[in-house]
Amino acid sequence: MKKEEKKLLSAVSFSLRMGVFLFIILGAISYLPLRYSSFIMDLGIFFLILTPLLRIIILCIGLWHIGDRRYSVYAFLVFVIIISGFLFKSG
Amino acid sequence: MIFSFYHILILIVFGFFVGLIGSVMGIGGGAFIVPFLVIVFNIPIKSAIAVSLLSIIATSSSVASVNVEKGLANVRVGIFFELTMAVGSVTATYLMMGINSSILQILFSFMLLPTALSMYIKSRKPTKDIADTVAFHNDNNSEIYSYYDPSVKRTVFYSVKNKGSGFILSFFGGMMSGLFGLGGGIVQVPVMNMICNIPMKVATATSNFMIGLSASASVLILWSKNYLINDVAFFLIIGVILGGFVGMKFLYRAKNSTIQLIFSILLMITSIRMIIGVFR
Repeated sequence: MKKEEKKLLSAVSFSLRMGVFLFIILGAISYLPLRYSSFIMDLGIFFLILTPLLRIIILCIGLWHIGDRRYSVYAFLVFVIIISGFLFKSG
Repeated sequence: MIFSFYHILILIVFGFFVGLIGSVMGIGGGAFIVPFLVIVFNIPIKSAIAVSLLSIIATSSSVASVNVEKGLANVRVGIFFELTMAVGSVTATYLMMGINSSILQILFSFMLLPTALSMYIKSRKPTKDIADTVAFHNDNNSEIYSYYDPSVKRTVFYSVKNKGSGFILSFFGGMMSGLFGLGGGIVQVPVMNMICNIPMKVATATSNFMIGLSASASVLILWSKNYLINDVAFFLIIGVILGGFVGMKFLYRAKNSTIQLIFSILLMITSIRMIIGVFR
């Protein structure tokens, strides 16, 4: 595996880990007697839902950067499909 | 809903087993989570589906974070198949409101049975690993991928066959997510393994990588309409993540035929359970 590709996969891996980590941390904090505990839990859920979308963006940019234009375009199209789905549903 | 320590414990333990199975099989575990929450916790089905989908994102993200770094998940094949999977997931969300789900459930169940049987037969055959054969006879100039397999202590090479068929069939994997609150791995893994000749370990790892995306397409809507029960989701996901990490240790060391066997039995159970569910 090339060094650049390893870096990209590490970045994807890190983004996935961060989404789950933020969800757990914010979820745990929300059980403390705080004023905005429900908002904190919602924020954690929001980060978790966005995690798969974030890794698609990272892959799109990363693959373009390492010269794999074809798969970068595929990643971009996946992102467009998901966002279009949200827009149609909420519209 | 009154939430006791006992409930928390049940959710974490159950989540652990779902995470364990999900990470080894490449599925999100929605087929187990939804009926469990409805029957044991008396939660409305739409809320159970919302919790299941969020849990699928957690399983997918935590398991894929390790598999992607190890090179076990094939990111390129994943992205390519996600194109139709995402379309299927979005389309299914619209269809869910208009089509009789019993008819779809019967079709889905009968589609699973032959897949399960052929995968079971394949797992019992003492043949050479697909990956080896493909690497040695790769005469169609397709891209060659590789991963290190500790169960055989060497790097295994493989190429992806029938990409077009896998691309089209991934649409149905996405449909499963939107229609039934499943991750879609129950369709995606057999498609990648049996049709595209991707080794079982890579198929499960790639499926885990993919299913989070189709789930996120649906769960945001359910969450915005207040279907998600935060407490249930949080404790279930804690268990799922713990189980997922334990399961990954098994996946990395397990033989492809063992995973195929477990997966085929799981498919048969799911299929029979769904058929019974329709006629009950």
